[in-house]
Amino acid sequence: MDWIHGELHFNFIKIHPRSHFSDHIRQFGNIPMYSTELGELAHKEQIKEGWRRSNENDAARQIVHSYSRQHAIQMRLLNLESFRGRGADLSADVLQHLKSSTSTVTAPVVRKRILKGCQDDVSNVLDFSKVSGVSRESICRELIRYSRHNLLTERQLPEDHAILQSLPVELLTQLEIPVVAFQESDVYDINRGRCTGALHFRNQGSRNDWVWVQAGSEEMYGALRGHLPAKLVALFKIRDYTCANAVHRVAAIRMLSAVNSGFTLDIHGLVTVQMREDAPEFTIVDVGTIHGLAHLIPEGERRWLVNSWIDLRTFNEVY
Amino acid sequence: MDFIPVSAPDLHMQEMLHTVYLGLFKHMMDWIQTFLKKHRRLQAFDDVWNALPPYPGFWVPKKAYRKVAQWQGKEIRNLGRCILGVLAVVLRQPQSSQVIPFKNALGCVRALVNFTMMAQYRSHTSDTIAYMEHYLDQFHRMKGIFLEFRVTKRTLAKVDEQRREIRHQRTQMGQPVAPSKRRRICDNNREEEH
Repeated sequence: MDWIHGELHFNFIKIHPRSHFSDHIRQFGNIPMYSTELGELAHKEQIKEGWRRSNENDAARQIVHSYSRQHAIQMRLLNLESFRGRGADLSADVLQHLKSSTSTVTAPVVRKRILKGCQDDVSNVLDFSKVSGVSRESICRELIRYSRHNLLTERQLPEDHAILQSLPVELLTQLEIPVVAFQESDVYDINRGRCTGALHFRNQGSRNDWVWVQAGSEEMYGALRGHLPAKLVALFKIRDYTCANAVHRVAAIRMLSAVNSGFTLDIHGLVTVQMREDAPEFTIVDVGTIHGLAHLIPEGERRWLVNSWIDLRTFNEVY
Repeated sequence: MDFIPVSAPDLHMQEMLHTVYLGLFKHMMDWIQTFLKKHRRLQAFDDVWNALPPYPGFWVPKKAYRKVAQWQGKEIRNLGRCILGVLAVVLRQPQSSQVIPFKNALGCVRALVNFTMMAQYRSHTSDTIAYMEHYLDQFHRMKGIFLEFRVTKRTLAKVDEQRREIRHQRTQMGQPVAPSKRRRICDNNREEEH
């Protein structure tokens, strides 16, 4: 047996290059990744569009010509652009064209959270309670709690249950959350939080995503830094006709609580969260407090592990 | 001595896909699978694997891990993003004899995944590079737990040869050929090699 153990080793080729990573970064910058996606996408521009422009007769030649023509035009445009930058004398129509082609580059940046996917069968709080299966009383109670804690005195919702139940409501299924991309300042990834309630999502089971909610200050909940994961229960807009038609965009969520005050366990370095027995059925929060989607791996009955390796941003924030 | 002219594009370039994902992760998954088999937790692994929730940019596995015949770079990258969490769930509640091996296995995988995440940063400071080196060190210190699953073809050939020799000696001495302990272990390893 011993000689077999003597034979085993880790001395194989793939284990070696990683020891050069740090030197490589110091000398040449970050480690690039290969992806076939770019190459595959290029087929669309280089081949498919060329084919569509051709008369489908001796197409190969036409496809090549079409692409090289496009390439030449782009090169010419870049040259003209740099001439313009140096203050060269260009004709008016060229200037006009350059202006129109460069102005499209600065597209408006979307930073607002957007609610989408309106459900038609809900028009007020009563309908909402029927569709979601939550009692009217608890919805009213939570709405009042939300309005007392979060809204200015003059904008608060009416506290009379009869009026509150008649307020117009729009139930929605999707929340688009812009999240700043990792190590970027003006590039946003859109996280789409789905909340279909009991409805099916793309002909498969219902989908109610996990989201990060700002639940306290930066020092709270250890590694989670003031955030707690929660499950989306419902997304809705409520219009208060008693107060200048103010619209409140809110989400009903079921909060989880952090185990071990949110500190990571030594053995695997992940944070455990749980749904407490005595936790309220749902809480209502403003959609502005939802910061992005969370990835939780079920660990057992009412317990989950926060997967902080799911992307670089989470990896950098939760540790 | 003459050097053959070398052109820059021919030189080896560090990149993530072949060195880390297709290189090391693939090996590591083999070790993990054998490790789980040894500790009888393969089924638990498949259960957790199939219950992963969706996330933007994350491809939710549709098949049990063992049923996937071929792995693309993208899928292995996906795997790197969830493997530690899955493993942490699978390896909970160890028996008293399993505590140390489970801890080491998790530590080793964690170091490798940490290293991979750090290497993906698009800009670095001396701190991040220091972290990267630290994780690599950690990996090398802890990888011993998976050593027993690193059986090469050469070792297998040697085992075969030895076995044949022993059998030969025994038949010459008129002894029955009983399956030895070594033989059973070797068969096990051979199965893994397939």
